[in-house]
Amino acid sequence: MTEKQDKKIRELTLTAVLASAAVIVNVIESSLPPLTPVYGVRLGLANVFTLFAIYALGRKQALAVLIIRIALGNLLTGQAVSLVYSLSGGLLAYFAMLVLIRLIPFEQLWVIGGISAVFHNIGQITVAVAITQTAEIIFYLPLLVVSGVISGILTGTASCLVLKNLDKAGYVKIRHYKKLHKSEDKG
Amino acid sequence: MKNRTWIIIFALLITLCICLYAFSSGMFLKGSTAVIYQDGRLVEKINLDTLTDSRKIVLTGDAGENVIIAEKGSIKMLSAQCADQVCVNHGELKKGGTPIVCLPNKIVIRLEEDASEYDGKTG
Amino acid sequence: MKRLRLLKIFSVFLVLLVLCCLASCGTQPYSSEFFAMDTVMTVSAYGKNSQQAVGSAQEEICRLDGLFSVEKTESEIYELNSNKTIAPSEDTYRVFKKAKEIYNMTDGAFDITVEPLEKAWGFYSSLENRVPAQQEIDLALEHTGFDKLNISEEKVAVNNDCAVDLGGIAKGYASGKATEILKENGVTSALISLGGNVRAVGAKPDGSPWIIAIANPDDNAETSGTLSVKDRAVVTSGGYQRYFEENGQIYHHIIDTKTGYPAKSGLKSVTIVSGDDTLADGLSTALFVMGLEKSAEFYRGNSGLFGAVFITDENEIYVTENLKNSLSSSQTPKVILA
Repeated sequence: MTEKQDKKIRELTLTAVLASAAVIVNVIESSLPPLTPVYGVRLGLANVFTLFAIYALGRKQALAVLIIRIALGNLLTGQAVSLVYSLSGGLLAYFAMLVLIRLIPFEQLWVIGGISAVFHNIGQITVAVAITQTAEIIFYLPLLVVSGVISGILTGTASCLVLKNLDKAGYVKIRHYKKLHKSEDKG
Repeated sequence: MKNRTWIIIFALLITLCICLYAFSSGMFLKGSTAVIYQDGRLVEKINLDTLTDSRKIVLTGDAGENVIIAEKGSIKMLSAQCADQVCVNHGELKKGGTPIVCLPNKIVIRLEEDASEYDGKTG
Repeated sequence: MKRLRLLKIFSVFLVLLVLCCLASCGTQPYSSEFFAMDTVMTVSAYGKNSQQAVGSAQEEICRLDGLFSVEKTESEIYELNSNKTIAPSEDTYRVFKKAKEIYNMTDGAFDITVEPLEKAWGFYSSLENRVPAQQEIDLALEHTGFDKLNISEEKVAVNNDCAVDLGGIAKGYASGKATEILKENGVTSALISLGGNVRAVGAKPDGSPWIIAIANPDDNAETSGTLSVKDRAVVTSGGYQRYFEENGQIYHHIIDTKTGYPAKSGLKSVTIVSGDDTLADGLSTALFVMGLEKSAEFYRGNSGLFGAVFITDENEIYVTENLKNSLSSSQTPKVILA
């Protein structure tokens, strides 16, 4: 086996592992008592895998993990209806991350987690309002943002620690993204 | 940016959200007139202050039956046949609070100010 | 350093809270409800400075009540009615002048010298309602009319046995003064309600017109229609407002000074809309006395001054052409053309 093939297999395995872990979290999350009346609008705990994948595998693989998670997760929990909510939240959070990783240093992964959670919630609520034609749902946004930010910060912190340790142990290599502009100070 | 700056930003965001949530239920949705919408249409308008006997309203939709109970001063979703039961768990609306929403049947119960159709009266 | 930062955070939180409060205050009116001129009054104003403005307006209304009341012993009108002569204050003089103006333009349908008649019918809180004998009415009729009244800036005098009652005009004058005060204080959006007299100051805070309902003469809890107005006084006179029953007959408080009896004009109520509060108040009484036909004629000559809504004994609604578009009612109103 060449070095290149080896790396590819490693990446593929990791993608699969992340995706399956994400699906499990998705299922667990959907069994939690819902915060909003919208079936399928969730905290976005599984976004941590997108974040993890961005740093451990790269942007394309992260998108793959995201899509697999949403597709499988919704099939497994029988929530095909909420596919749109998951997609809107997950994708908006993903795009937010793409921008954020170039603005915020890796050490502040918890910040990225927190901010992308906000986008996750905004995306879901917007789509939910549009689909259900029920403007009242917007009243749940503040509540969602609070819980989303807290869980986003926690998962961000967790993935930062895990990534660092895995990097140290040599299992993954943390990718570095070019800064859009130099940040004023470090830490 | 420093960690501390971010902490402040998040803290502010959370306070703002809590403020908004508190205000949306406390300030903007005060009133004692319950309005019930289904599919965006006004189904029922009940003045909870002047209500003497409790009223039961049954609405049906794609996800089965919803039973709403209006009493003097409060209104709640008694039961629903949908899976999530969010609307039932919402509890009762009393004088204010975020609207009860049942999405499967597209029902919204909201308290409004005793919206009179006029500002003043002559005569 | 650390303390300074904490202080900063704290102040930001405070500012946030204050902003939230301000945002909610902006749309809440400052209201005051009080009792004056024998009725419940409400003054609600929006915007900054509204609290002070409402306070001043309330003070002014109560001060005018103290000048114009027929029954308060310290009022100028009480003094005039008992001493038959006074040196009028500026406000009193202006009310008399305006009353004379309306008397002249309505051919005597509005008459503040109606006091002897109102007294004969017992329409004062100290008296019992009763149907007076014809003789008594004839005598009272002799003591009414503006020729019994002498008005000048220095002196107002009435003949012996005559007296005045500003009940048909005082509230209008008061709401006019209150409006002035609110505007002087920078209030651009307010609603004044003096019993049945409503005064819309400016438009609603969002710029839309005020919606003023006209009471249903048969059921005061109901409405017969609504008027959308900006910066106008809306005043209604109706026989249903104060009346008594004797031998199955209903006698209301709007006395026709030509007959000495409660006006039988075929109308249940008249609502006047005008930019001139005092005029609106006086005309509502006058047009009620005049009846629909004479009122229509009167409107044709004065359509620039006011608009009116009439509810007839048959519950038909008539509206003057200039108010046609601002009236909405359950039944289609008949329009009186200018």
